[in-house]
Amino acid sequence: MKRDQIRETSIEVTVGAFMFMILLALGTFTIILSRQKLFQPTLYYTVRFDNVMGLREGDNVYVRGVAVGRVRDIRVERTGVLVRLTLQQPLGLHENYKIEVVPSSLLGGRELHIEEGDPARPRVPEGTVLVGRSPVSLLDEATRMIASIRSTLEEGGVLENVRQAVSNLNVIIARIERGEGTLGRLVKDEAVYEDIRSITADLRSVADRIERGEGSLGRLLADDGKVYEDLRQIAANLRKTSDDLANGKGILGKLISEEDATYEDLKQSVAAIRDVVEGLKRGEGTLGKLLKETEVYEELKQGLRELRATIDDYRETAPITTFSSIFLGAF
Amino acid sequence: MVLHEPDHFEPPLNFFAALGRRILLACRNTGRGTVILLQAIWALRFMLSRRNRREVLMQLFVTGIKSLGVLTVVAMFTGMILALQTGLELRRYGQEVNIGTLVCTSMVREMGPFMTALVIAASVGSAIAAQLATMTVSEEIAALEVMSIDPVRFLVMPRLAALLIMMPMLTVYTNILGVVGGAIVGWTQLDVPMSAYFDNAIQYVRNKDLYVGLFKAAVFGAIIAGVACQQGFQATEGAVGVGIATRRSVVISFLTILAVGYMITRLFYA
Repeated sequence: MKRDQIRETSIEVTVGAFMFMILLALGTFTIILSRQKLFQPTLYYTVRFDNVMGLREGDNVYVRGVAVGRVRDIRVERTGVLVRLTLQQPLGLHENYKIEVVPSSLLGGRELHIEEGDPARPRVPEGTVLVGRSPVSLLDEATRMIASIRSTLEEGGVLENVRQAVSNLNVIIARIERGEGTLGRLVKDEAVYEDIRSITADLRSVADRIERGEGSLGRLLADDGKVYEDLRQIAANLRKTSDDLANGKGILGKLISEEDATYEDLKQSVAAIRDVVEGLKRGEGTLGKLLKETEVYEELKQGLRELRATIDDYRETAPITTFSSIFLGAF
Repeated sequence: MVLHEPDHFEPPLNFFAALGRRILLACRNTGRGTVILLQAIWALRFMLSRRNRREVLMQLFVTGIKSLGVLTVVAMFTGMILALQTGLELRRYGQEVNIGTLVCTSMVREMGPFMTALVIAASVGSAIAAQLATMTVSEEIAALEVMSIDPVRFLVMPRLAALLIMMPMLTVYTNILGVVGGAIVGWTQLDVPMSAYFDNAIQYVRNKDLYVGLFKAAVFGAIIAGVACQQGFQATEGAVGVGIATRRSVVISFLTILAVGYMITRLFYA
């Protein structure tokens, strides 16, 4: 008997504990799902919309991306749709605030987004019936966009152009398939392929040589930097020379400078030289006669011969003359 | 009066006669079951009486506590399968974080009550049918009636009370374990953090979903009790009849649960 009583008591306790736990869990879930925060003040706001696009009671309210409350109830009135919100914290709305219904995900659902507005603008008084913006339907937007694209394609002639382009492309492809034109031969002709392959092989060989630092280009690209330094020096010199030329330095600079003085001097010198040369050609003057007349040449030759003989005589007699001068000079 | 004379019919003349007889018998059995159920509901007012209290407690224990083992496994795996199946598909779109919503909504609205009902129909319902069928074929029920003890009040009402009370409780338990199972799969297989999963889980579930689910569970409990008791009282032909009653109890309970589940969903959500 006592054993039966103990068993019955244990059954009662077990069933009672189970039911107590389940009821506790049920109560917790009820509070969680009702989105009510106990021991926290609840604030009420009313927003008027023209259209709420399927917003439902219990949908979330976000301020700057933070969930701050829920939609409590929705009433349709003659002037629009009145949406009552319960929030856990006060809103600091300014005159250019924005309240809109937006899709919560691609799978559906709606939520309310609140932007508080520019803090520089005056505050909206508490208790004001706020005005919400009509939501944008993604489906309507997509439909409108598709209609616009279709209109552009059909009426703007884009479709016709595309059609024409495709037709041309077909012609080009047909020609290529027949092996016509450069591209066609490239596609059809094996020899072209072989050429390209050969060129590629050559290029690879050249590239390898350059990489190994062979040849001028290879040395140029080699890591020691000597050739580069030389080239840089040359470039610097060329720059300096070109600067000098540009600044009119040196003869060549003066020649190519915008000033005409040097050019004029050179021109006059050339004219003078030309006059001299023409005079020589005509046999004018001593040099001209020397060039033109054989007698003068012969006389000059004879004179030179005599001069050499005189110099030779003088060279032979010079020691005696010098000695005599010294000897006689002593006395 | 729950016992009736056993059915003895001549073989049907043709297919249509057989079909018509089956339809008529189905209607009659449904009627008998409904009457038993209504009588049991009426008898619920004696649920806490000294004479019935112990039996109700025993039935609560058998229905609730003794089913927890199998229900734990079924609930966990239901949530895990839901999470894995939907999560793998959602991952293709980078939306696997939403499995919390899907698992929680599915469990609370439909899968929780439905899976609980299937488990209870298969375990407790079949046990009730077998027990009552055995009592019927061994004429214990007839003896009770002879002694002016109402079998409905004495046998059916405690079982109905236990199922009506325990089915919603077990459904809450199934819901919790299903959602936790989904979270484990989300965390281990789909890299969805627990916090994100649970935030997401409660995002779109409303109290209405929870309580419609519990209401559904209570209705399923009544169906299981009604079908099991009716099949038990209708058993004939000894041990074979007990087997038939048990099998029919499970099959009819399953089909009725499916149909009634659809109707309740349509009633509250469509």
